Amino acid sequence: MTARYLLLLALLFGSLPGFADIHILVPEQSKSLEAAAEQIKTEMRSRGIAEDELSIRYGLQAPAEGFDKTDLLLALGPKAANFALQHGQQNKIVFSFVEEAFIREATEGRKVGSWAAIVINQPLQRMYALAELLLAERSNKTVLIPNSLNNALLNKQVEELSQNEALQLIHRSIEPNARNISRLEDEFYQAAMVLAPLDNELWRGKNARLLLHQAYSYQLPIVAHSRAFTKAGAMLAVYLSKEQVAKETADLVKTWQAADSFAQDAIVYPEANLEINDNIARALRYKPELIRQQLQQPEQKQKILGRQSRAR
Amino acid sequence: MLARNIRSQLLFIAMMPLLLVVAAVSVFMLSESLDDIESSLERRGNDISTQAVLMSEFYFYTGDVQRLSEIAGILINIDAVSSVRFVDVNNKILAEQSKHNTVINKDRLFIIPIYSKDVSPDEVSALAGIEEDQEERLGQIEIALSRDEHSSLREKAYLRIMVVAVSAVALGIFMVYLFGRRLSASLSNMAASAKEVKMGDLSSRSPEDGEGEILELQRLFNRMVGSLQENEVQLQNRIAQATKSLNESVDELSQKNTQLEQQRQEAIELERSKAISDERARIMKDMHDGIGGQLVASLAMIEKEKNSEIRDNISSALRECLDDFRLIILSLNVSDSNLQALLADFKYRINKKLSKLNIDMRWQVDNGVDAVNIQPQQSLHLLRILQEIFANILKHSGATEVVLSVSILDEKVQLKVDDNGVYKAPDGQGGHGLKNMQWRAEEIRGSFDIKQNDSGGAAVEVVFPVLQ
Repeated sequence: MTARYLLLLALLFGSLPGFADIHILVPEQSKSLEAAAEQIKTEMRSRGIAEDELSIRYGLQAPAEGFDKTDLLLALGPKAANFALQHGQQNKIVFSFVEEAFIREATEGRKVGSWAAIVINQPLQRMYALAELLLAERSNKTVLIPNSLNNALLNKQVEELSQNEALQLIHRSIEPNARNISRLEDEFYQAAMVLAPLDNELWRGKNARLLLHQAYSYQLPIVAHSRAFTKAGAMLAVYLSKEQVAKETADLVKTWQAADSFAQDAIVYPEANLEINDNIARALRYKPELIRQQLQQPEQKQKILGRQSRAR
Repeated sequence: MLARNIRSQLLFIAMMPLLLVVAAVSVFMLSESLDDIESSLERRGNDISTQAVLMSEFYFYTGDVQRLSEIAGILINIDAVSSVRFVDVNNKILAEQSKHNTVINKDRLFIIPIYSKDVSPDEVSALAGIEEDQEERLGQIEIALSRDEHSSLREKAYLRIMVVAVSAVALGIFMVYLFGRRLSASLSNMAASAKEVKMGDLSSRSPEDGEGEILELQRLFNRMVGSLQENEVQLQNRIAQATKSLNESVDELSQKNTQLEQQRQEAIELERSKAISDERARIMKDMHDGIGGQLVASLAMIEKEKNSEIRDNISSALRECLDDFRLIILSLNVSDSNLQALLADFKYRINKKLSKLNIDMRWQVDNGVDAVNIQPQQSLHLLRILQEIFANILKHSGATEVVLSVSILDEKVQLKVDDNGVYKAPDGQGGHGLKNMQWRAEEIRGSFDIKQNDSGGAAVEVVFPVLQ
């Protein structure tokens, strides 16, 4: 009799999220992701998640009996994401340190609400808002957004932004090569600013160098998605830090633990930072101090650098 | 000589390290300058290369040869650039510009490869699997820089270092000369003082015009010479004292010698006197026993005769002879006579004659005369003078009174005889009697004077010294 009651209680409480395990999946030979996992674990513990509920699985090996369907899988990086999608079809999954395009493609057909992703992308809306701020006092409000031809995500986001009238957008989807870049002379000539969102084909490698060179030749400021661009010649970058991604991931896990589900918006853009190349800014007649001062205002800061999310 | 040697040695000692230091510094400066020149050339080349890379990188990507030619044309106008060449990855020359037809060997060549550099993904992008692209070599830029400009800089560096080195050596020689002169001057002065000291001038001192140990040496030298001078003075004093002592000893010896000589002379004199005395005593005895006896016997015989004028005259003559004989005998006596006694004896004998002629005799002898002794010869001379004076009074003066006074005045005996008779001044130089009196007065180292007194009589004065 007693045994029956105990079994009933176990079934009742075992189904509660608070008793489910959280598996942090880290691919092998990735010291950086291992460090990020430890950081996320620390953040989660600081939010009241018990130590025995957390486990870091290095090397992407699933338990012999498989993951319990109540367990939450936290996948760090694209390899872990693929592993989690493969071995946790019944599980809730949080993806972190992944690109938006990748995760959208990878979760194609997966049940809405069964996953959420902390992406490293900067939302084009954020960059647009920043360009709007920078060009507020300028007569030329034309912004050039070049991206690779196959980047459907960016094409879609630009299309959405085109509805706004604050800025005049010149959107060019091109085959990413030097010849096509060199042909953008008219666009560079017309534009007052260039936005450089995450695009692994155009805004990367020698193509990125060419674009930076072109922009500088036409005295155009570039607002980029990564700190690396400010070192390479971009005037300004909005970027994420590991700590911010870790905090955002921990918050998302805590939300799941509380509600056993994710919010409607599955794509999360963590709060960003701003970096200005002062020398480039002054060379292009912008005032870095003024920009920093404007972004200290809570409204602007929240609008441009604040956390954003988007539905699948 | 000393100064020249010291100065030469100082010059040598100071100049050798200076030359070594100057040589080392010159080599170091030259090396630094050449390194600077080379570094400058390197920096210049790197700057131009960096500029060339920035200007041409994009056109390497795009293969825009026209633009690369324009850039080469711009770069060749830079002074130091002698040639510029853009070469692709297949060593195909894309563009080239040169100031010379041939490459000059002394030009410095900079070859800068051009790579397609990726914009590295940031930390978070790397975590998301975004990998860094591999670099791709696109070609290279070859820039030759002329060394002509730097050759002139090098020559200027040689000249500058040479000027600095020569100036340093000249200044060093000048400073060494100044200090050496100062140092050697002090030593020369001291050496001169040492020579003077060697020549015996112990008052010589070295000027204390040196510094440090030289000054200490000068002070020590002066103290040493001062000590020598003090020792010399002390030695001289001791020699003087010894000489004085020796002289005193010599004087003492001389005095003793004199005394001995005197004693010897006195002994001789004594012996002679003794011999004379003995002879006198013998003569006196012989005369006393012989002549005296004959006179006494003759007088006794004549007095036994009947009274007659002849007997009286002969008796008187004999008595006078006997008196005179006594007087001679007395003069022959060796021992001194008392003046008082001598005069008393004379008074006794002359009173008889004066009484016969009714002449009064006044006798005035001071008490001090009693302490005066005279020698026998003096006694004889004095008595002969008195005999002559009284003989003259008795024979020629016609006096009735005679005053004989004797006094002692200033260690001298003053004998005066005054009479109240008639004084007759002697004619010319006087007679034999007067001369004899003067002679006898001189024999007793005295004086004789005769003159007329207030009563018209004669005043005779004899002064002679008292025997000590």
